[in-house]
Amino acid sequence: MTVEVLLTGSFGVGKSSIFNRIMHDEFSNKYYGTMGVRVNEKILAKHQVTLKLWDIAGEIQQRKVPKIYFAKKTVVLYIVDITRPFTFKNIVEDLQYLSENVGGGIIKIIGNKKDLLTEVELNSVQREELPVPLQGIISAKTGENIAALIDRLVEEVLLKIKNN
Amino acid sequence: MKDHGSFKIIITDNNPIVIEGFISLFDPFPEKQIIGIAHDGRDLLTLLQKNHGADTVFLDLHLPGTNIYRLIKDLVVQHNYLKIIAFSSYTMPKLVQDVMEFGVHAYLSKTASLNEIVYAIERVHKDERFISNSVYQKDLKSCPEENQFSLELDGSQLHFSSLTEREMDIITLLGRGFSIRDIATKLYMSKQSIESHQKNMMKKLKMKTTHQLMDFAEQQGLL
Ligand SMILES: Nc1nc2c(ncn2[C@@H]2O[C@H](COP(=O)(O)OP(=O)(O)OP(=O)(O)O)[C@@H](O)[C@H]2O)c(=O)[nH]1
Ligand SMILES: [Mg+2]
Repeated sequence: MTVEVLLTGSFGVGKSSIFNRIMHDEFSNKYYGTMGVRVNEKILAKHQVTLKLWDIAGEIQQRKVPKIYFAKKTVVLYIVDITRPFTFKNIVEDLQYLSENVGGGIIKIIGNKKDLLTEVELNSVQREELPVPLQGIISAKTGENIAALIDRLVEEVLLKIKNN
Repeated sequence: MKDHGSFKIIITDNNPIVIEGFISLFDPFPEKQIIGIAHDGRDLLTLLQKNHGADTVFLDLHLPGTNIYRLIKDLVVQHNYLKIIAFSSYTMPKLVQDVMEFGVHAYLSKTASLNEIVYAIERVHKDERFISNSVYQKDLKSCPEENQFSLELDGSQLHFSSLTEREMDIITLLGRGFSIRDIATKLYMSKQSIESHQKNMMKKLKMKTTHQLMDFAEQQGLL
């Protein structure tokens, strides 16, 4: 079975870094904006599923993302950069748009770059700046919480299938 | 937020007259200090890497060898402490809107008054985002022909209105030797839509062949 996961969100939030961390366990401080799309697969032995990961060019508004990217995705991860409020200023309308265009897939809001904020700063961003709660907070740089996030997602997908 | 105190400014412009203008403009204001001059995008990134504590950048949008959208993204993502003030002769609403959406803090037309320029620095450091009156005024006054990017090429004027980010991506990939089919796959678009983008660009740029388009891309530093 293949679980198809799309990474989306504004530019520079760390989608390619998350992709590289998951696929190759690598990280670079350099920023090369993605052009188009990158796809790669990895077998998750623990769950006996194939993870197919899609990394696309960031857009400030989700309605600028070609709709075809949303087709047949099991999971869409909407990534924000918790150090740049700019990357979540459209979150409410983006989520609305995603829910209308991601047929049946699970949508999650994930904050990246956890390594750059202290616990206190992180709490204040969540309380005062984010209009909706994050469903995961990760760091592509340190790898913190990424494996756990993937585990949790796959389990959720498998459970959903079982219940249907 | 930073409401009083001093500002450290980098001017990014390729025109010596503009640079001279800035230097004399800020001369009477010791708290507004020009700490660097950059002539293109690469210069600017190098200066920032050396980190002289810059907090404000004036950015001409038509810099040699620079894909302006990529440059703005770099500034916003990797130097997010900077306040960016676009300072441009071009005021097409689509360009202004795109640039502001990318996270630029203020947009001034090159016809802005001296007061406007000085005031802009203070406003962006109060976390305001704005487009100066001079942008709208210029837009009302000027005819569409004037209101386009233009560059000198072998003495002849080559006009090009603002290419979109997508169009710049397509030119860049063409220049790197990708076929239309490869580009379509990479950008996840149909061959037809890549071709129609290409036609559109050539029309905008008043060009007849893909070869001319490539020369242009090279000249713009997109390749
Ligand atoms: N400190 C830190 N920096 C990160 C992290 N993730 C990404 N970055 C940096 O953020 C910048 C942008 O990362 P990318 O992964 O290229 O961002 P992207 O979302 O793929 O950007 P686009 O392709 O333009 O949409 C790079 O300089 C990365 O090194 C992180 O968890 N912590
Ligand atoms: Mg990317």
